[in-house]
Amino acid sequence: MTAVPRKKARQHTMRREQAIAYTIMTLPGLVLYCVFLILPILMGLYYSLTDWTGIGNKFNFIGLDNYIKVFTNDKRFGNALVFNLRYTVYLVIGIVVIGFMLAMLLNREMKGRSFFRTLYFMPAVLSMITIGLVFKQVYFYVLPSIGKAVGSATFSENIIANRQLAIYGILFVHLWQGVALPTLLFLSGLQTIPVDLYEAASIDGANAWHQFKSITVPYILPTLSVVLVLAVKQGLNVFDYINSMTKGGPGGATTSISILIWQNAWERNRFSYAIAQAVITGLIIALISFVQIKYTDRKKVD
Amino acid sequence: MKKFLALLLAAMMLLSVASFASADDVVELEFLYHKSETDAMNAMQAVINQFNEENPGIKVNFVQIPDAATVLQTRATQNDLPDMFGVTTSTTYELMFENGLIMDLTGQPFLDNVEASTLALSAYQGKIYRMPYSLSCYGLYVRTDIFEENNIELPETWEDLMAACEKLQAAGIYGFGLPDKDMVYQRMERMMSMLANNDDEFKAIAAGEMDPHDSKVLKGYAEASLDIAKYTNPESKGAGYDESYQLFLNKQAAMTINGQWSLGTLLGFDPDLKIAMIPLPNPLGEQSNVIVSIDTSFCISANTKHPEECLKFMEFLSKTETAQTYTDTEGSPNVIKGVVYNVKELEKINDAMAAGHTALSLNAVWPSGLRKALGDAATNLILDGDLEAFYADAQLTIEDYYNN
Repeated sequence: MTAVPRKKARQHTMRREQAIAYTIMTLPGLVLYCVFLILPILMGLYYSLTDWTGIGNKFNFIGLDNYIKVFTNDKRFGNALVFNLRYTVYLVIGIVVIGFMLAMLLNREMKGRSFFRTLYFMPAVLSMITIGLVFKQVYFYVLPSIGKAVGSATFSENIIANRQLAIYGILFVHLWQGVALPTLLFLSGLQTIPVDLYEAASIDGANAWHQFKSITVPYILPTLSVVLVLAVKQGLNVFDYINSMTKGGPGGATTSISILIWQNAWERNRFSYAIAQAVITGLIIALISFVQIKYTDRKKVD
Repeated sequence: MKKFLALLLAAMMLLSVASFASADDVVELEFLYHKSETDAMNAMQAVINQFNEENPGIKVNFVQIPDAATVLQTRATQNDLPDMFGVTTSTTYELMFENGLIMDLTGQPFLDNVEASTLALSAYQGKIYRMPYSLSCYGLYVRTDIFEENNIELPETWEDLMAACEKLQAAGIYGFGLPDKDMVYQRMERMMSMLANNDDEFKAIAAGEMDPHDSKVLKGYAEASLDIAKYTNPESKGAGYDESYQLFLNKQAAMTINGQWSLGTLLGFDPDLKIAMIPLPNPLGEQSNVIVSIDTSFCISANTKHPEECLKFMEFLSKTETAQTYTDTEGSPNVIKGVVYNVKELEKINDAMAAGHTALSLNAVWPSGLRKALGDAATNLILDGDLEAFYADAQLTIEDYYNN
């Protein structure tokens, strides 16, 4: 009579003990996460409400003044935001289209597949600053020589010294390197699709386009979602490539939000203001990511 | 295996304790240097080695890191400054003085070894927080070989300069090779510093009391900048420092405008280069001053645990012999009394400076960051030649930086 409840009770205690053990095991991670991520964010939020210069401990609490100034009295922030949005759109399209196409190609049975896979992944292991500096030289010495040789007026000049073209110069370098990881992600996504689905589809008379639309795309959507979040984040946070190639120039044409934040903090001694701009950027990224994850979640295969 | 590992670990721990114990007798001081040029690094290292040898009880550790200025600023936010450090002249450091992060050196006897006029310029609100050490000067680099081949005299006035450019152009040579991709702001700030020795006009513009068209500084600079642009190698638009040096070295330009700090790099590429640095002619026809900036000063942290040892190092730096050693390697004019400065390429610059024809860079007088922001307008002016856009943009920027 009493055996069953006792067993239940024992199970209950065991489960409780397990729960406690799991909780304890997550603690170090949780503490680290709080100390290194949550705490700085909270401190940042606090500092954004002050007039801290970034030096010393003297500052005043000024409420939302910094935020108000960003929206009402800062043409540069608006320009930088427009630059970033434009850049992000190009970058996302570039990464998704090129990355996906490369992944499709590398997913086929062919000779030297591992070699090509390694080759396309190579740029990803180099540092962004190094690549930026290398391409800075390419744009100054190599490309104009080629441009002159083929008689192209546009490419006879350094394209990153041209206000209209500088964004594409930076974008090209970013894509050259940035497409490697998404390609890898797409490739792994493609390999999770069961081959028999394609076989069944072709028996049912589905052509390549139908197969792509109804099998490949739904299966790849979770990966696409990850790739999109990463690309959007990269686009809205772009700093290294710009800093190593144009430093926000010529004439401010490639000043991204990150560059502007950096300038405000380090060159202008307006740390609190820079933090306010960073908080706003963070919120924009969070919002875009949220919408986009919601959207791709609805369409994926469960 | 385990035993062996345990023994090894124990031995290592003992060793580390032992090294701590021996370090106790010597006072270690951290020195962070704001410069990263090889010549400057070597100069500082030589001086520090000499000090360490002469003072067995003190060890100055020379910290060499890239972008030391940013590191210093970061450490200032944490109130964790190194015992001693080098600084340039900028509003950022004035904030450090103001916040009590840096030791007040006013009245220290070794400051008597510094040239009085420079010392006076280093004062902040009547106090001395930094020992000025060396200057940077800004002017016109000329390839004397090209000038001689084309029978052109070294220019003294703006008209001379333009005439020289015309002759060079006739001979198929570009007048200037400039780092216009991202350094326009520096030339703009230095040239504006020659046109006015204060920022009164900018203050008036910010207060809405002056139209930018009436500003001697803005107008003088903008028109001179367009004059220069006419004779500039178009590749300059895409050039940074290094690429502009290449244009000058490859005879793709007969002149460049830069600071004396470029000399080491230029001669490093070609030790036989025939060049001279001369004062940049004044575009308004006034005195052609050498634009100088106190490029290197030394500070002591207010929180150092070893103030006496730090002061001893400062005193050592202020000696004529030490400063001479430093200058001979680093290559810029020193402000310690008795130091001899003899660089043949800089002869004309030295003469002008000795005659008192100097203008102080306004970078530290302007609000921090202004020169970069205004530099965007100046870059656009070079790209488009649109004076009206420049005035409009300059007005907005000046209002923003002075009123916010």
